[in-house]
Amino acid sequence: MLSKAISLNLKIGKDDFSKAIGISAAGYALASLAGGIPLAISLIIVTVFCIKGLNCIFSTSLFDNQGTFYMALPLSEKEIVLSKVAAGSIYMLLLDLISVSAIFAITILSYLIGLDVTEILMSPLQQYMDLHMTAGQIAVLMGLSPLKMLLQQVFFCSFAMAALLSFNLIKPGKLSVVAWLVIFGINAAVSSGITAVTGKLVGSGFNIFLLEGLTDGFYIVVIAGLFTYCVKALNSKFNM
Amino acid sequence: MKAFIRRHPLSGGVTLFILISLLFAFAAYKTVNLSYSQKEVLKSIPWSMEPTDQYISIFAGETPGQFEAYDGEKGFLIDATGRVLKEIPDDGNLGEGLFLFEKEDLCGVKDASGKVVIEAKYRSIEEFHHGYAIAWDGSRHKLLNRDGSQLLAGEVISTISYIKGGKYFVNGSTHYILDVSTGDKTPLPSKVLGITTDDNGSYMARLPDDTYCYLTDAFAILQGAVLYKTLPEFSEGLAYVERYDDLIVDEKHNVPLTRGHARICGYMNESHEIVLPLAYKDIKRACPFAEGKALIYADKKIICIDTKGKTLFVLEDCSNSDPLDTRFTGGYASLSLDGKKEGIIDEEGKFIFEPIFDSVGRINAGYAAVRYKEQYGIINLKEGI
Repeated sequence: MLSKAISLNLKIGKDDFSKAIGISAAGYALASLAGGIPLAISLIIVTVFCIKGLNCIFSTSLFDNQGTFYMALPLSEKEIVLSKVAAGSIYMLLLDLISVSAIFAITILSYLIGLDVTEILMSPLQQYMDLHMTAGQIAVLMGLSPLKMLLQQVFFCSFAMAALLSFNLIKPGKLSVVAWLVIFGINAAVSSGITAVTGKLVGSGFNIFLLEGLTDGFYIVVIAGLFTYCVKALNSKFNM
Repeated sequence: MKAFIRRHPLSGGVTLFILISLLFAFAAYKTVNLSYSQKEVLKSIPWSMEPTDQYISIFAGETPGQFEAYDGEKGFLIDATGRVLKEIPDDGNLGEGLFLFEKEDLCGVKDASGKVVIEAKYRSIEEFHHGYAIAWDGSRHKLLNRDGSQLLAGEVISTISYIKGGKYFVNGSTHYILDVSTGDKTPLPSKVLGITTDDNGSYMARLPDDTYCYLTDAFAILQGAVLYKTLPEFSEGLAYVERYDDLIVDEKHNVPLTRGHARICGYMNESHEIVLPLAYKDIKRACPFAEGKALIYADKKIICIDTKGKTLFVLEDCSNSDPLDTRFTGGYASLSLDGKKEGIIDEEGKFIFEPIFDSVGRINAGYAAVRYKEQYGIINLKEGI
């Protein structure tokens, strides 16, 4: 039942996110030809569609025609939260993967026109190489990076849902742009803060695998807390 | 369980996710391994000066074991260890005791005492030869005397170039050779587009269709002069040329078109006889002789020959479509097989330094300045053996 609910929520966000994915891909394609300005413009448009898509996923099937809370699907509150957060995270992860694919595509293109590919691929790996890690260790960390991306997106979606629920901002057909921008800002601050702290700690000699594990653990604990909060918030709204 | 995995709507997404993770890991592993192996190679190189991004260029100086290094603002004379010997003054030396100065993007000339001898009103001024320098005022060329007065002031000069011995090629309403020492003007045949000299100092005329022919000392075209496709660069008495032996410059100087005519390629001696004909189909470059050897980029190979034409060694799989001049110095030569990375070979054609460098400068007293990933270093080649 949960997978059907996720599929349903994926369909709900399909319109907005397909536009976001298309514009993102086009932005990266244009960026390789015309520099950073088209990419910056496309990222702003992508963010707008992301907000619309997520808002749609979070609000649909939770209200009746009069705008009061109403469970349209035969699901528990837990399943509702899980399916909506999962659907939003899948779309956000897809957008992440597009940016990574774009880097791969530009790298391959650069190789074909004779640029030094190693130089381009090196930048995300440089921090690990500066720590004199072996190729195998770096491969493990890079292999786990999509999982970290997924965790970050699940955190973002569950945080967004919790914030919107707590301020009663989830309403059908209503989009609180300011709230969404604040959510995006807090998410960016959290992820860059964690990256900065991790970088400092690694620089002062902490084991990077331990730190990566700790940050993943931190995300999981926070996500679990946010889930619990969302479920409780939904429960209280139905019992009103 | 298998049926569940097959039927589950998210199984495709999960599989894709795992595949992407594996791709990340694989790409990272390969890149890091390559980078580490390059670092190992770099460590094994006997640097006399470690690679540094302190300079934007380093190239061999005139004195053995010395190099000129530029940091973007200033030039320095350094030794092979990187020790700065002195700063190279950027005094705009124009020769004959005169110096260029700039004022509001215009050029003028000062003497050694700093006195302005030519006001700053030209876009560019070239070096002085026999008391004269070519200047450009943005629309016309001028021939300036040391005091700023103009020779040929009444003429509209479209191009002017210095040849040698006080002689200038002047192209105005007519074109002629001007000897500034005597003031003599020698008219040139109408087909002559420019004058240059080969390495032996013989005059050559540039003709239409990118061809050249030898001139007499009186700037006349010899009867039956053959056409050259390349300018001969003599070294050790030999120069590589491509020429059309079936085409001659006729007495009326009507130069026939070279298209469709067979070119003869080879090294010629100073009597202009091709003594080492080269029978390769596609010669990209035949470099000048040095230390009795010449490198020829042809037919996807690099062939090393001696002055008798004997093949000394062949390097296969050369995809370099635009090779630079490469010559042996002290038993070493730098070259690139792919046109991207350069290495250094010995006289037997063995790479003593694999082609990993972005560029290798002229070898100077057993040292070579190399560029590697935006950094310059100097290698002690003697320690590399």
